[in-house]
Amino acid sequence: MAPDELADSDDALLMARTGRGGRDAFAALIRRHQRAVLAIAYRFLGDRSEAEDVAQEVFLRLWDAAPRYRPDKPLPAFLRTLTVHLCLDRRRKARPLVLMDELEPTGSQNPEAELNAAERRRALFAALSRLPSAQRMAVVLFHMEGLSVREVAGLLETSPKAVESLLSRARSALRDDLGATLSAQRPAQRAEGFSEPAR
Amino acid sequence: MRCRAARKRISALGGPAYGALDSALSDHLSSCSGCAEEYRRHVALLGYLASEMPVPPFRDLAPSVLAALPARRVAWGNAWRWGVAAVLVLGALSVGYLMGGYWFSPSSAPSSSGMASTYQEALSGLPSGSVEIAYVSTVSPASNPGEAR
Repeated sequence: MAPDELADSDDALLMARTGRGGRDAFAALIRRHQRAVLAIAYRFLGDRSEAEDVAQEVFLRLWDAAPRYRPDKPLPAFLRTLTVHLCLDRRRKARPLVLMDELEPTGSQNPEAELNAAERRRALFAALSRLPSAQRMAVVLFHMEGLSVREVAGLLETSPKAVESLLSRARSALRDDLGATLSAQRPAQRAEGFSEPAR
Repeated sequence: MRCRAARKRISALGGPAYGALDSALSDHLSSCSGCAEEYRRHVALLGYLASEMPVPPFRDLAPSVLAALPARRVAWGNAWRWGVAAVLVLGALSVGYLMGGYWFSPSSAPSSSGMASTYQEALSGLPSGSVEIAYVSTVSPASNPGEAR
């Protein structure tokens, strides 16, 4: 199959080909889903190389699982489950994370705004890293990845009520931790930031 | 409403159970500057969470993942072809044997040393000089007509 055709094929077809040892199909799957996997891993772990390690492990496990894959479960959900479990597992075993060593620029034209944004990101990440793993993962999945409470509950293998509680405690802790940074934010940014998710 | 309950409600904002400020919380915020500030910080936090953790561009992982793949599945993936080929070859050999091809039977196939002694025996029984004639007669007249005459 030509690369263009592979890129247009649906996940089930690519998984079937991957299950028979098709490396081209597998590469197409990786390219299609790597950003979503890396986003969760990076936001949770806060480190680029650790996120890449986790993502690589996720895709290696996907390769192993491909012959037994049933298309009734959407692949993105399957990959998210693998990613969340591997991230939590890694954090359980590894040293506590202190701070992201690199913070990506936002591409702003204003150097002062860029500096402020970088400082805010640094402060936010430091505060996130001090949260317990489950709270932190709940924040990443709900606030950053835009999943519903029910989806987060499924991934964390807990009840929606427990997720709401995790989120509430996490927001309270972050608010306390980021007190000065949050107070210094301009009103326009605050107004823009507040939008009640309809989930 | 007390401050403790108000702050608990504020923390829940941004989740699915609380769509908007209820009147009790709203009344409390308008009368309590501490909780009003807490609410402002909470709103700012929600803005941060939504926008302050952009995912940087990552390299394409496909080459490194493919390089790290174990080779075993590919080998087993093609194993059935080798299995079919082996069965076909064995089947062909069995059919050849059953159809009476003595060349498959070790007992009926003459060895090279056996063949040599058979020829020697045959030649020793011939009268002197006839060995040459026997040799010439084995050469096809068409292939060497001059010598045959």
